[in-house]
Amino acid sequence: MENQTLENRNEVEVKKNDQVEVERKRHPGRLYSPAVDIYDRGNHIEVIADMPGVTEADVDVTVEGNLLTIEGRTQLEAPAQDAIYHEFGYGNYFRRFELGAEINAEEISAKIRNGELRLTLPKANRLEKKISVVSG
Amino acid sequence: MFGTWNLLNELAGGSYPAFNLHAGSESATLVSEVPGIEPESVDVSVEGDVLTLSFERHNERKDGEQILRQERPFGKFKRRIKLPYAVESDEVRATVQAGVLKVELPRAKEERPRKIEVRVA
Repeated sequence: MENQTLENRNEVEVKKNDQVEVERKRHPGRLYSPAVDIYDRGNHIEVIADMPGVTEADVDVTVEGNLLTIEGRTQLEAPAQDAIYHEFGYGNYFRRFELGAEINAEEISAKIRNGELRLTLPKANRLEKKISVVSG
Repeated sequence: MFGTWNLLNELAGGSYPAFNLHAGSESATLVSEVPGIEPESVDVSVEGDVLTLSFERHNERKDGEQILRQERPFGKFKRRIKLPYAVESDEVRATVQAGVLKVELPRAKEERPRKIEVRVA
């Protein structure tokens, strides 16, 4: 349901999470969907994803067709002592987004710092192409 | 060993950031997720058996911009966490790596289990 708003805005929409189930089978261990913010910054869209425990070497951002995928692997291990209170699990991250037509997928850039991934998705120039009409 | 602990863990604050707590007889370790926070901006303090964790996360939305999605919490966060025992506050060590905070908490010396030598009477 939440996808509709984004779809209407024709920006970035989040693919239904069916794919996560497929990925769970592909990757052993726990897989989490990172929390994201998505902002329209005018000439680009910014996606910020919380991926604690992930460093530059362990993150993959891929674009295939109109699908943007972010994946992160963590090397986190629980401390050796007995667990007495537990609020989060250690595992990997996966999330996939569908790009709107106005995103210039060739120019997407990404950086990661302090376990926070930031993607810049430039919008393509929306110049209308003028078709010249000749008399004939 | 720490059966009543869960009821006591949250003295104040909300449920963010998430943390895990591990404890043995000599030391405990707290691990928390603090993505996007510079290590020097994470405040950790310990007094007796209470650990306080606080930091601020800013709203990333700039004026006039449209939010397409906002799942990441922002604001000032503070959690006071009851530890299973008093800790040696001078020996507490906290590190942040890739947005993961790890606090090593040695148990207060006077509270550590002592082995009692048993003699033949």
